[in-house]
Amino acid sequence: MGNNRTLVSSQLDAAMQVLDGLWTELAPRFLGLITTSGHMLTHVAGSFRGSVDSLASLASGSFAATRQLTLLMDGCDLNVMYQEGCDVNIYISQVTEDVLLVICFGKGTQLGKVRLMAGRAKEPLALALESADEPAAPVPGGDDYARGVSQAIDELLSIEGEQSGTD
Amino acid sequence: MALINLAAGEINYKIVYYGCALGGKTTSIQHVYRKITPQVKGKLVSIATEEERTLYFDFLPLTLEKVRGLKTRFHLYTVPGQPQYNASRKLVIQGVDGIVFVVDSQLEHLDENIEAYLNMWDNLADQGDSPLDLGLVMQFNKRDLTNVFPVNDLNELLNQTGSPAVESCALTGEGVFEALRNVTKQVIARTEAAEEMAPGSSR
Ligand SMILES: Nc1nc2c(ncn2[C@@H]2O[C@H](COP(=O)(O)OP(=O)(O)OP(=O)(O)O)[C@@H](O)[C@H]2O)c(=O)[nH]1
Ligand SMILES: [Mg+2]
Repeated sequence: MGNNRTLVSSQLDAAMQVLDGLWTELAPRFLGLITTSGHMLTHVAGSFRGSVDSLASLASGSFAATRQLTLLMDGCDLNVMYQEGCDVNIYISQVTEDVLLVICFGKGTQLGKVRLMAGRAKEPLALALESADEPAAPVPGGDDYARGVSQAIDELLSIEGEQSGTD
Repeated sequence: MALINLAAGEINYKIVYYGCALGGKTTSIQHVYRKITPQVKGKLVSIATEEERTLYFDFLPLTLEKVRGLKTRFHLYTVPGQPQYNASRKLVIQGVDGIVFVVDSQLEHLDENIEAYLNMWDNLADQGDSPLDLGLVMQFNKRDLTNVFPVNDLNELLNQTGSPAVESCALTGEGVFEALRNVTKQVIARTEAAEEMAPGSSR
């Protein structure tokens, strides 16, 4: 686990600028960058009121499964996935090896435009996420952080809690 | 691999419950969902068959209060234990930081446990990982039943890494928090160690 991924503010700021541009062009319901392991990096929720964590986990899982399915079917790697819903459509495209762009949009937005804009956003997003100007800092607080979290875990997951926690 | 999102002020970890079919992975994560302080938990999402067997995964996010200005988030997942779902298991363990290996302690399930354990090593190796580099806890489950292996035997048969072992009954929840506490502390300690070894590395 020596290869943690650290994201610094300048990276997310640059990525957010690209997302803002997409937001203006597409007026989607939701825009987000997630990792292939299911973590949300950043997002613009718009009218989406559901759980962002569930969205990240399901979108990454769905993309990963479809990708394996296409590999199985025709040996081709998948880098874009589109799902048409009743009211909201979902478009997912691979930005870097471990980051996906998720766009949820309504019937008022054309798929072709989403495809075009997502394609154009790919390179600047990849650039934003891959090149950190500032060297990544170690975990702020170091020892103190680890000690504090360890204590918080003890409190949260105490045996007493296990028996008398709320239902 | 932990995701340290300094921009958002949070560190994200992925913890996966692994083990043979019907061993008690889903029951364990359901217990955590039911009994943990409501403020820290998100929604429990399960992709399961009609018979409530895990088809793809269960997912439960936990968010701890800020420490030193950083939120700590644990994303808990279970894998589907049935042998035919190996492709799904491989996807779920992508980017894993810690594993709770749930063992069905019953005598007649030894072979399934061993198969699942070896399968975990194989799948981790395929993604360039090893149980030796992750947080790992053995959760010996179904200790409420009578036809079970003694803990010593299970350790000898399955715990090849000499990892911490916790006895549990996921049905009542006994031992479930303890196993989770142990693995989360391991991953925190490992992040710190990794950061010390490679300060300034961005990945
Ligand atoms: N007696 C007893 N039964 C248990 C215990 N834990 C789980 N079970 C039962 O075992 C069965 C399977 O539990 P699950 O949690 O669904 O198993 P799983 O590991 O998620 O199985 P898959 O999703 O197929 O991989 C259920 O009927 C549970 O009620 C335990 O500690 N003791
Ligand atoms: Mg299950």
